Amino acid sequence: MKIKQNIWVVIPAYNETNYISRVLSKVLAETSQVIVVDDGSSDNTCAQALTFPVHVIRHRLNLGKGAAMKTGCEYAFSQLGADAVVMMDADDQHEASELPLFFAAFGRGSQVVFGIRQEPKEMPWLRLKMNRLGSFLTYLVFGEYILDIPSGFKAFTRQAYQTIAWEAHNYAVELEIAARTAKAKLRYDYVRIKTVYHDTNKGMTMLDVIPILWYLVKLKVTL
Amino acid sequence: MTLFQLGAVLFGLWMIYEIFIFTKKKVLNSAEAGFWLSLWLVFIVIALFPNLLLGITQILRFSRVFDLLVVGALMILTFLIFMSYFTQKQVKQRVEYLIKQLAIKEVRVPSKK
Repeated sequence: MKIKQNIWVVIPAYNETNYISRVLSKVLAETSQVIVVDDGSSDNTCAQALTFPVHVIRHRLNLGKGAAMKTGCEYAFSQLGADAVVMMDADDQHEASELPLFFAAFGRGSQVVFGIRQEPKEMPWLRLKMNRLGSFLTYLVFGEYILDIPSGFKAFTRQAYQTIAWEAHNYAVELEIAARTAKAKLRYDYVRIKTVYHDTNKGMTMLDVIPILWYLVKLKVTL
Repeated sequence: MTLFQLGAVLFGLWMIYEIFIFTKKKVLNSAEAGFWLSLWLVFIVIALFPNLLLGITQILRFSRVFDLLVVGALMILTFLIFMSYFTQKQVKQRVEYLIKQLAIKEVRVPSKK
């Protein structure tokens, strides 16, 4: 099914005061349909987002990336009648100029679109290895080798969201989306995106890996 | 009375004191206070007269009263952990639901020009 153009960009944000304005400026150059979900930031992330003509939702408490993504999606699909959403990170590690690639993928009938980072040498070595391990383990468990699972630049249609509506609140959300996509055998596509790293001390760390791997085991049992 | 029994009795008395404090602060109602008070009184009696459990120990084929108490305590702890897990999961789900609903209700929509 081809998607009509009611596509919204959802940006979950937590303490991204250094980048949120830059991200929103770039995204608004591509589309006016933007939702920012401030996940209980303790800095000026929300205040800065409010200065832009975007929809701003604010969690009063930090619930985690997965919860923020879900709030944004539920708002987009239930309140705004979105046909599809594109998830982007708020730390300026995604190029807004690549949004049209996701829109075009929907035009080809994809239900889920994964942004896969090219130029792997730009990625820190350990993250690259853990990234590949995640894809390999997902293949072992669900029979589908999905590339660059941790990439937060991804998109899905309303129907796909109803199938993959995740439960994870933390960084395991990316794994769960991939697992549910594989399990439900949804039509997915890849879009090559640039690799950008600013703060290697933010985002997922080695401490997050073991709970995520344990979550993969739980998904195998429960899905 | 051994030192261990003395320690157990003092611990039981301390817990009874805690029950009175929580009842006074209205954290526990009278039924809850009565339940916990009874439990700790039984604990003190068993600490003072462990031979009262000899009959049960023999029926359940434990070699010592202490073994019976340890197994009983582990079972109770496991049950409490189990119940705590589900309670905290339930509370977490309710808090998240509330926060999400509030967030969507208070969404700032850009004004149309």
